[in-house]
This record gives sequence, structure tokens and C-alpha cells, in this order.
Amino acid sequence: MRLDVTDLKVDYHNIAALKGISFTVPDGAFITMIGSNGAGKSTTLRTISGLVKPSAGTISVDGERIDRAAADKIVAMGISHVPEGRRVFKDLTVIENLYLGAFIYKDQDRIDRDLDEVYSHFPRLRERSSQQARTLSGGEQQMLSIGRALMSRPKVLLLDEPSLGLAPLVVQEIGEILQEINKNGVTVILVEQNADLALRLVDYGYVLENGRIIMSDKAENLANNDHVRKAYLGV
Amino acid sequence: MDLFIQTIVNGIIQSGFYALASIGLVLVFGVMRVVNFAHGELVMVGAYTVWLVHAQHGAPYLFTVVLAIILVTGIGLVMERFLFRPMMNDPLGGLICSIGVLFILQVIATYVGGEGPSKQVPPPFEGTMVIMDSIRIPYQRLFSICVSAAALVTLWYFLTRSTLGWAVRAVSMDREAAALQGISTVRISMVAIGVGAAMAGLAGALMAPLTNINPHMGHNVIITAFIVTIVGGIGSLPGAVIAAVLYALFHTFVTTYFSGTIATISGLLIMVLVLIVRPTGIMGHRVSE
Repeated sequence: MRLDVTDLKVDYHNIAALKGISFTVPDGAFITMIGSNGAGKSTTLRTISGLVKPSAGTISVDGERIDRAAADKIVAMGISHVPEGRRVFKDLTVIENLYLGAFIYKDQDRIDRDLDEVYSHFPRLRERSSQQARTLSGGEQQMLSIGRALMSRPKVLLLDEPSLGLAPLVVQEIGEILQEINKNGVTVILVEQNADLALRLVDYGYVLENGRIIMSDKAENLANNDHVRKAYLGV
Repeated sequence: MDLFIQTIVNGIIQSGFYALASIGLVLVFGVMRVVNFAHGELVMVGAYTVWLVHAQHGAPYLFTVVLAIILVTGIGLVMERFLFRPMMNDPLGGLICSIGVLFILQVIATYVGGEGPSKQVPPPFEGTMVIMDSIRIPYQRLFSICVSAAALVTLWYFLTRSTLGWAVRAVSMDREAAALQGISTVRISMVAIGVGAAMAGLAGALMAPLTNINPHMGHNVIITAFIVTIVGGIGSLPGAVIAAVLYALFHTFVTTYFSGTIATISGLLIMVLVLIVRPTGIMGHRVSE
């Protein structure tokens, strides 16, 4: 599914969080948005998934406008958002969290097949399926959050800082699974402060600063760009 | 000794009312983040329905119980649609609106029933069950506790075993994350207030033959509901049920051995103590953000 964002502007209490950004994500692409805190990365994702309403501009998938739709309707259009901070339902069990990911569907056979697929990506979730989500480690909660998003059968998957606070080995593991998911045909948009990780995973990247896209290029070119290396890769 | 056992039995019967009347407040606060001050008046409307339609006009008691549930559920849904939904991002506004509804319902009750002494409904189930020659349970109370328990078990099943029930809990844990799963928070709010109001209507209808019915009876209900909600842990349904049982036993004991006023005062003191010592209540979790 192709995603087009045109001249998107978002204000929070009269402060401009996005000052007009435009980009296109082709069907099946794996892209990243890097930038520092407050650059507008999260706002971009939250606007696409309908949690935040834009003050101007358009968002469309395969030519269909979605920027006026409510968040719970946008899920049904094939866009899933793995929010920053995992946001799993802590008092519910792992399997209840996953079933809620498929809340919009009623076909139990297909839901159970999707569940098996999520478990094959994340075998640890199967082991912990009847545990309360609050008992999971940070990495497992991140896996649950991604698994929950996959249960809604996304064509576009939005991920907000999935590596935050996780051990390097777990980050590695999650990165590999994201590539796997992308190879299965899902368009993936990854927002990361960990630019090093992000640029190793994706095909194409955007750099956001102060609510604007200041640069976009193939991942390997960005990784070699002087400004990106100084500002985001710490070399 | 007999008085002791009898008091335990009375306390357990009372706990059914307390749980039933409090659960709606907890549900609505959890899902909509609004304190519904008119919740006690929903119970009052349930009791008035039984008084008016059953005691005054002779309709069968069980029919009026069902009627009370439907009527109070309807009031709850109207409140959601026209007050709480427009006030969605303004919890204080929602609270003030609910206080308005509180007064309106009290005035309507006064208009319908007139002023003067509290109304009584003769118990539709007469007679008393006597166990071991000493413990007495009037059939009316036995009926009430059985129906309350059945309603609570059904609610528990709904919340822990059905996808819609999980969705209700998900919205009360994290609205945004729930919306990202395609869960409509508006629809879930309707479910929460519908179920909560139905329970309140049922509580009022069950209480009607066992209590004094007057336009201000919701006052005691809301105080009880606040104590139960805070002691149990705000937003925690299992906590509310546990707190309802504990508080009912406590209240019944203090009422029996001292007086009802002392019982209510000490209940409020316990609530304040809980707020100071353990603000999360018995079952509540700290909200980390």
C-alpha cells in the first residue's frame, strides 16, 4: 500500500509541531525517519494513525484520503501503529492483548492463523501467552506491542522508537523481525532516535529537524552524510 | 454468638448491594475518566420505579425490576450521549453536568412521589428462612443477594472472558492504545455506562422493599460507592468488589454494635486513611507515565 503525505501541518496549542512535510512511501518499502527529540517524528506517525488531527495538508493511502478519519477507523484501512513506550494493556494477558489487536475482525479461523504467525515471529510470546503483560520484560512488551499490531493485518506498519530502553541483543532481534515482516509485503515506517540501527535496516530515510524534513536519501548515503554522521551517529 | 453470626450474614447480604451500586461508578470512571455524581440517583430511580409501578399500581415485582433496569440504562445512555460525550476532553465539565443530573432526578422524584415521609414497599417475598433456630434470613434478602451475586458473576465473566469485555478494560487502561486496535472509545463508553446504569437500576429495584425510599437516598449510595471505589483502587473492578464485601461487613458490624452514623463516619475515615497510606487502594496500580 502506498502512502502519500502532502504539506502536512500540525499545531499543538498554537505551537507548530509539523511545519508542512511531504513524502511518499511506495508499496512494500521500508523507510525510517530520524531526528532528535521534538523534531516531529512521533507527531508524524500519530497524525497518520489518526490520534492527532492535522491543521493542514493531506494523508492518503493508495489515493484515498484518511486524514479526517478517526483512529479506530484507520486501523481497518490497513494502517497499524506501534506506539512509543509499547503501551500494551498491562492487566490483560499476552493472548488477550493479541486478540484485541484483531478486534476489528470476526473470522476466528483466520485470527488464530494470524496468532500462530505472530507466535512464530516471537516464540517467547507463545511461552508467556497466559501471563499478564505487566510481568513481561521491556523487550517482551515491545514484541507484544508489535505482535498486537500485526494481528490487525496491516499493509502499513508504523513503529515509534521500538528500540528505546532495550538491550542491544533484543534490539538486534527486533530489527531482524521487522525486516522479515517487510519482506512479507508490509510497508514499514520506522521512527528512531537510534539512527545507527535504523539506517542499517531500511532502504530509504528522512531526517526531521524542527518539524521539517531537511534531508532524504537512500539509507547508505545518509549513513555517509557528514551532517547525519555528526548529529545523529555520533562519529 | 448468635448476634455475631447473624451480623456476618447481614453484612454479606449488604455487600451485594454495595458492590452492585458501586460497580457502575468504577466502570464509568475507568472508561470515561468522569466521576458520575448522579450515580446514586440512578439507584434512587430504580427504587422509585418499583415503588411507583409495583407498590402503587400493582404490577408484578419482577416485571418492575426489569422495567427499572431498562429505564435506568436508558437514562445512563442519554447522559453519555448528551453530556459526557460532548464533554469528553473535559472531566470537570462532565462532573458538573452529572451534578446537574443529580438535582434534576431528585426534583423529578419529588414531583412524582410528593414530599413527606419516605416510601415503603412491602416485601413481595414474604417469610423468613431460619437456620439452626437462630440465624434468620428473610426471603426478600435471600432473593436480593442471589440476584446481586448472579449479576456480578455475569459481569465478571463478560469482562474477563469476552473480547468486548477485554476491550472495555483496554479502554480504561489506555484509551489511545485501544483506539489504535480499532476499538471505538465511544462505543465502549456506551457499553460501560449502559452496564453500570443497569447494575445501578437493579440495585435500586432490589433495595426498594428493604429500605426507605426518598428523593435523597442516592446520597448514601454515592458515599458508599466512593468509599468502595477508593479503598478498592480507583478503576479496579475486582478491587471494588473486594472492598464492597469488606466495607459491608465493617459497616454492618459497627451499625449493629454501635450505630449507623458512627459506621458511616468510620467508613469515611478509613477512606481518608487509605488515601494517605496507600493511595492506589487494595488492587489499584500506580500509573507510570
